[in-house]
Amino acid sequence: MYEKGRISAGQLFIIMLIYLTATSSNTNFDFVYGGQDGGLANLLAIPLAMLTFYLYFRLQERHPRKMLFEYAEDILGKWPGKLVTLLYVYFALEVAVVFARGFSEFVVSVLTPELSADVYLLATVLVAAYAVYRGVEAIVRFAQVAFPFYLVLLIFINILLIGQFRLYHILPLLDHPPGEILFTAYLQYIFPLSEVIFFLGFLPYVKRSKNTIRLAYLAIALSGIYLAYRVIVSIGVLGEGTAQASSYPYIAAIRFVKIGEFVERIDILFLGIYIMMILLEFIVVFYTLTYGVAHLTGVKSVSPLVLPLCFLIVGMAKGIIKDSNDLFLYITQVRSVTSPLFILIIPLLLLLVSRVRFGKSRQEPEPADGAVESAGGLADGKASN
Amino acid sequence: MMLTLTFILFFVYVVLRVWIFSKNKEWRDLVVFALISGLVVFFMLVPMLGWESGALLNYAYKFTRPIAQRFIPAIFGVEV
Repeated sequence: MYEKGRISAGQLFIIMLIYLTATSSNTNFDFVYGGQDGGLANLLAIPLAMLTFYLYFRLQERHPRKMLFEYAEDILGKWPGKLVTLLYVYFALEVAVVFARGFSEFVVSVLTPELSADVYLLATVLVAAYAVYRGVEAIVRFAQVAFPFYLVLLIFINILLIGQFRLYHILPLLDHPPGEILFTAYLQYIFPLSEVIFFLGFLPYVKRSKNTIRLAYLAIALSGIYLAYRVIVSIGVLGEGTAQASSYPYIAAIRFVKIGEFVERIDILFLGIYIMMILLEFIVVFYTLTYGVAHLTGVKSVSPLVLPLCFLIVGMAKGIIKDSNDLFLYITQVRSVTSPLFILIIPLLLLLVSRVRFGKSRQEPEPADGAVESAGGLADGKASN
Repeated sequence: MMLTLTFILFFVYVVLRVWIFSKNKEWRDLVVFALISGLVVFFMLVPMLGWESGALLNYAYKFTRPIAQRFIPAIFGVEV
């Protein structure tokens, strides 16, 4: 346990909902492979993501107030546990780097084509560094404040989009072969829905409540439904061919929203709050990365690691992808191969070994907050903020 | 230009941090910090020396592309 802060199940719900719906709104994998059936594919990915979350949640229940990096060592032993930590650190680094570059390319493409992507890259990592430095409670409070704006804006824009919707664009439904629909569901499962695994950095801080898993499932289900809806509405507005050709089909559809002759380019309004949400998504991954590195290296304090890791992301982001087309290749040809290891195989293995080693109903007693403050942290050689 | 300026500021930060770690005799923290900073220098400088954008992704492709192109068509019947 690294921090003293606690978060509620409701706060976890909000940050999960934001995480799963932000960047994924603007991906086009499900449009390209699934067309109008991409909506169905998104719905099919929901139970898979719930399974992934269930595995992590069960592990967390068996090892309360510990991060995966810590209980992997409890379960597998010191060096195999370190190997698991190393794998997750690598994965978090890869995702953070692609995220940062993808985000900066996105903003440059849709908002400020004259400005260098480096500006957004630097701004993103520096804000994330500050957020991680402030701790988990500050991050979820930011999410809580921004969430109502995001929600209201999404509802408002989607109501307006219905005016541009043409039913014949999305017909006939179930036109694609089952293999394409299932592959689309798989892609939506590996990105974004299975990325609930990055909440492994947040789960130890969640106050115990019967509602935690229900709210997490609800966040996954609502995100999946929203992603399905966005496919249907974007294709309904743009038509299948245009939506598939666009790098950011949802934003392209939002550009069609118009109220009379006086309210146009409503996408700028959407992008204002939307950029903050993507930033929050990056912060979650960066948080997991920082604490993973801290645990792996056994440093006393996390804060000196934050800036070097930030600049490592900037340096690597320069070389990871060229543009949004590379992001497409990354998901379809890299993540489609590597993701199952992190979202299914390792958590399943940890859960099985934990059951074999510690019995079926092992549950470590959760220490009181005061005890954590006095016993945890620096005295045990653990990193603090 | 902006990246170069930030890089110089980061370099100053690294020197200060190393000095603080050595003053407090926190050797493990110093080594970890220096290692990560070394990686930063490598990844910041290499693109400036003409490293192609997208090179890291191409490197990852070498391992994953054959697997993706073999298994995805076999499982889903979809060409990637």
